[in-house]
Amino acid sequence: MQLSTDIFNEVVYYLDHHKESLRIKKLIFCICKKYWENDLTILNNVSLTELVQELIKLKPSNDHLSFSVYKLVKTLNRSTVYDPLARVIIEQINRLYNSQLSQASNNEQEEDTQLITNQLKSSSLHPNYQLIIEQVVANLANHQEEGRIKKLIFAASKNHWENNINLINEYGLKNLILDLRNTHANQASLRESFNHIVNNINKKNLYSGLANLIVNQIEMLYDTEVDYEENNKLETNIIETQIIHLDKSQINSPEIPQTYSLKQQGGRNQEFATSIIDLEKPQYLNQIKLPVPPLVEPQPKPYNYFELRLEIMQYTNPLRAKILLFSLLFQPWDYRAQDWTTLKGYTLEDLLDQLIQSRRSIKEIETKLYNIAKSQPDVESNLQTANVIIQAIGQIL
Amino acid sequence: MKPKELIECYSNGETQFSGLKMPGANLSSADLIGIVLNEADLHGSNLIFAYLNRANLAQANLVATDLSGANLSQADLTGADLRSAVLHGIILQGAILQETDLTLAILIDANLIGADLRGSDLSGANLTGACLRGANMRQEKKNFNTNLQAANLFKADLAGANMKGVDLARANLSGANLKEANLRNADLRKVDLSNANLTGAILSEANLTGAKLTGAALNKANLVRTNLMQTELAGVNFTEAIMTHANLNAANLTRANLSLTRINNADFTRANLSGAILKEAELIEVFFAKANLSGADLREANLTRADLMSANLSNANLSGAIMPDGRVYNTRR
Repeated sequence: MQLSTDIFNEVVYYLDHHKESLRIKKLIFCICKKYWENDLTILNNVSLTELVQELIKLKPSNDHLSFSVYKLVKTLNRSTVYDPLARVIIEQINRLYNSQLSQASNNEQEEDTQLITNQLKSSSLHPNYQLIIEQVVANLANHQEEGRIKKLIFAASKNHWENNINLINEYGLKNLILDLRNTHANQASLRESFNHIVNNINKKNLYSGLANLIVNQIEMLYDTEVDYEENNKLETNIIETQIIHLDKSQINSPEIPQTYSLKQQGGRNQEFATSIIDLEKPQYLNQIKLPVPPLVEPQPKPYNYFELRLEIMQYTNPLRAKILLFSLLFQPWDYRAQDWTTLKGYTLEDLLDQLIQSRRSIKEIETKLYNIAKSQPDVESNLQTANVIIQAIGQIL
Repeated sequence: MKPKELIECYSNGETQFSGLKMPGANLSSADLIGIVLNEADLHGSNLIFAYLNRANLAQANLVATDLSGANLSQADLTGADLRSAVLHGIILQGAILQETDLTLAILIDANLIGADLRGSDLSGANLTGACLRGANMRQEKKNFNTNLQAANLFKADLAGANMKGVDLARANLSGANLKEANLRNADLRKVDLSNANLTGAILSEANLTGAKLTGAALNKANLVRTNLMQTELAGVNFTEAIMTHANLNAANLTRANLSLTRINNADFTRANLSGAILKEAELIEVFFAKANLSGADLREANLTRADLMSANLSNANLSGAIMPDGRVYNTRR
């Protein structure tokens, strides 16, 4: 499908001239090349145009792009800096997907229209929004500097400084955050409030950094709703999946923890470089503390997921089950190396949960799974797997 | 021998291939059920979706092989070398993995139900989402040490698994299912057990120094003589657990629920129990030196001969509790 060159050029221009264009380029580079590059000579050797073209080829839909971008950002040790950039990239590249769609056939357009209508019917209190609020509260409450953070948030909300932490706790961090969200119509006004407070206290530098952190977190509450209105339903689903694999330690400290894999190059000072966990380099895994979920109180699921997993594990091949579920939820499986890595990023439980949350009927699941099974090599084994999945899921739905 | 020849020989009825050297082979989806490949060298091979049920792979070199989705149920992998192998979604149900080297292996969503992992080395392995129900990992003799140091067992299913004496130091067990698992005498220092389900689990004499159990469920767990020094236990549910002689020195038990527990003779020196619920708990001869019990709910608790001398009991609710001197605490004095 031909991209509208005008929109493409606009998007590339925007990203290239963004205040944080270098970081944006690094993100896109990493998604395309599958490793993190800090070397400017190498980065300057490849144009953003090429990278964006490659990106669209690799990530043909917004679901894939969002998943990859957020997954990457969560593994960075300065994810608060890269979080807003992730949104910028997704927003811009989404324009390219949309321009592709608008050139598509009439049938496809009708489908899109249907999707939008369904989303508008749903309640505005999207369950994922709740999850994100919990996430934001947990991130801030579990931060090393939680005392100072609470004082800042209280001050921004109540317009006076309070040193008594017990008093602040009585209000409840979640309430204070929601209050801020509700009284500030947009991120700019929120930032302004915090700036105002920081300017009027001593230890400005310390609090300024924390204020930044807080605003970056609370900003997520604004974007969720905006994304929802822009009918980006699946993005929030993907965020839900991402949160489960979020590395809390990275949110807490801007320094590189000793344990992360560094892409060593010469004698460069790695201290402020951003690094990622590279699953393809096993020799570093000794030092790596693999991602852990940050949620102190995970969203309880209405079904027993261990029993569901056991149902499937005991009676069929877990990898086949994952491939079938992946094909049903995202895109047909084509055994490319890239897909194996993506698949390792989802556990069987993640995929089952996504399927259940997608609210498809058992009939639809059945039909689709059988069709996917028939298109795989070794049809017989795949049909057996499809059967087991349907039996297991059927008990829940 | 080339992979094609192997498959041909096998389909002609030949199964004995001990010591075969075929590194880097492509045997994806191959049917090799019951094949004998002990001491074979297959390192770097592609065995994705291969059928190796009941195969003999003892002492085989399987370093960096890709066994994703392969079926090795009841296979014998005693002493095999599987370092850095990819076992994503593999079936190892009932397999023998005694003294197998699985360091840094990827076992995401692996089926290890009832597998024998005694003496195997899984240090640094990734077992996210793996199912190890009923797996046997217990340490039997000095040299038979099952090593799971720094392993990633995020959301792994270990219900009923036997992990007596296993080394799990620094392992990630957050969100894991350890219902009725046996972790007696296990090394759980600095383990992350946040949100894990340890209902009815056996942790007696285990060492959990510095472990994190935030959000975990320990109802009816057995923690007799367990070392819980400096553990993070805020809000943890211990209802009906047995914790006699446990060491809870400097543990954080803020708002923990210890109702109906038996904690006789335990050591709570410097422990933080503010806001904790100890209703009807049995706390006979418990040592509370410098413990913080402010706002704790000790209604009807039994504190006979407990040492509360230097404990902080401000705002604690002691109504109906049996005090150290044997008398019942009466609010209306």
